[in-house]
Amino acid sequence: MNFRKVFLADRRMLARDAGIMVLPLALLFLLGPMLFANQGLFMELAIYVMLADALNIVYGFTGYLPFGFGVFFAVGAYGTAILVAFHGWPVALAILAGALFSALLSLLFTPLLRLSGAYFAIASLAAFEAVYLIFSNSSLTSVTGGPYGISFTSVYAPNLDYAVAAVLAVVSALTVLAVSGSSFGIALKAIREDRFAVELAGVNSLKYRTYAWLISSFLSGVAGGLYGWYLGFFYPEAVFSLTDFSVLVIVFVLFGGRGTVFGPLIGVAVLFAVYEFLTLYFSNLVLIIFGVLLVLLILFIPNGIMEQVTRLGRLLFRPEEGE
Amino acid sequence: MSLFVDAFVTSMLYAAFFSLAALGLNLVFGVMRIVNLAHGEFLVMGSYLAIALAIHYGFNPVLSLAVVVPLFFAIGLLLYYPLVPRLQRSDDPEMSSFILFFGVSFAMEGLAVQFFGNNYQEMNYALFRPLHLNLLNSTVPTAWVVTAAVSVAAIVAVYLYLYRTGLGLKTRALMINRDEAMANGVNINRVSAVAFGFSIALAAAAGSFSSLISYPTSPSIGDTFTLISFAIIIIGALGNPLATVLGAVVFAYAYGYTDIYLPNWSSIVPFIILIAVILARPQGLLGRKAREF
Repeated sequence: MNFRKVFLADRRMLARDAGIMVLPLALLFLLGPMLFANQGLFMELAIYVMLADALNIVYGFTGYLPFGFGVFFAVGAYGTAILVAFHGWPVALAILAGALFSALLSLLFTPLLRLSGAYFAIASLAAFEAVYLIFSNSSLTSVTGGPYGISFTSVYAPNLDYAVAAVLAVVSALTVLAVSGSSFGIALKAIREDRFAVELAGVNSLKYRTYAWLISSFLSGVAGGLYGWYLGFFYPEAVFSLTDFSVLVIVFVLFGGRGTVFGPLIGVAVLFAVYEFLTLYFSNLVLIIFGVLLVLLILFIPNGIMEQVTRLGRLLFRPEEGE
Repeated sequence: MSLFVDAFVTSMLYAAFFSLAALGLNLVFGVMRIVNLAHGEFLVMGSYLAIALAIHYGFNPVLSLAVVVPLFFAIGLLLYYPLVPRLQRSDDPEMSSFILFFGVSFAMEGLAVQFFGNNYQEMNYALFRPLHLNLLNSTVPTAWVVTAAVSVAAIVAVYLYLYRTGLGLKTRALMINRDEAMANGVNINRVSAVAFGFSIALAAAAGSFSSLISYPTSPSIGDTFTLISFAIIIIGALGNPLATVLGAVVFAYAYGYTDIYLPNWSSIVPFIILIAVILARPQGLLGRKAREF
């Protein structure tokens, strides 16, 4: 990588995009809890923004879909909880260490990156299951709390936790923007488009994928730690939920547009609102509606709504560029 | 020692059942190169139907196959046409199918909760008399022996279809090389639709017996069956239906013996084997090359 010229994209454009990205997010996180009087909702939103950005780095940019991606989130939550509850660490340090656990786990799983397509997706699903069964195993109750859950309510501080999560959600969005505009991000996207061509051009695709994988798992781990802290007490199923922290995030990213900078944020904002609305009023239909939505999404707008929005914008404002 | 023998016999019966459970998934992957993540949900639906038939009409699950198999074959055909051809025109059918069928499984799980509730349901063991049989010096439930026998019969039927019929020949041609099969006049959609129908029917047939030999039926158990089926077909060889049997044997014996000697860790074993096999030999024990890098 040429470190002297890391940012290949135009700096002014980057600054503009950063502004467009930070302002609405900051407003949402500041005013949201006041308007709706429900901090927990916005906490989840912040967590989903981080997870969507983390997934975007590995799935959006490199094209590798880790289906059991939520494992890093859960390990982050557990790392934090174990260090605080059983070893008396301060929370901030424990969250950092939990995220490092996630990154370490992802290093352990790097051999999976040699696999392609479906093999990779299934292997990561199996890895998720295996790690879940280890953490929830009753033989390890003294180490992880086993199936009976883990509690560290003594350090419970929801307001501080929310503030940190909101700031980090914005930071993670900016991270994606920075990655997207850097030569690193361009290498990742090139890997997604044609791995053979990238290898022929002398780029070590495995190395770049490993970096993306590490960043993504670390970010998920941080999100997990913050979420665990917010819960204060949780059962293994609460953080090892394939639906909540893998599949929903995948749907958010797909809906917005994988590999785009704004897509995942829009996906989270729109679909999380829809999801919460459905859970509130039609809780027994959530699975069905989301399932059908997912099917329609993949069949009709596989590249996400960002692409449609961009095309529409181009038609409206710059008709001379056209298609 | 007798514990060892019991585990041997039980695992053998398990292996037959799980071959049947995973067979359809492998057929679909082999023919269409798509991943049916809703496989376990079809199995669960078949299971609900068989249980309902047993409760309301006193059907033995073997008898209910006469209803379950044709019905789910038809459902498979009906689902094939709106979903799969469109999927195969996308940039990356394999990955798209993964997500699409996850959506299908989501919706099916939701439907199952709506119609059958979240409780566990089980087929009545007492439909089989005598309750127990003696097999190789160990006593096993008759229901398990019947399940295994039906599974073996179904596997033989799939073998005969693939190797002794015209459509089976075309199916194998598609599995080996899609483009060349098409160039030689194989009607891809028709062959694939039939394979998809068979796959769904096989899943439902396995479901008719699943609550007897493995987990009780509930909406959320579908994912578990999907994952186990995946483990099995990857251990065997992805895209080679008959290698499923070998995968199921490895899975069943590994599971059966850990279940006896380390019961707390038995459920993790299939995933460990799966990851180990994927890393060491991603093409499966019986497969040709698969890994790109």
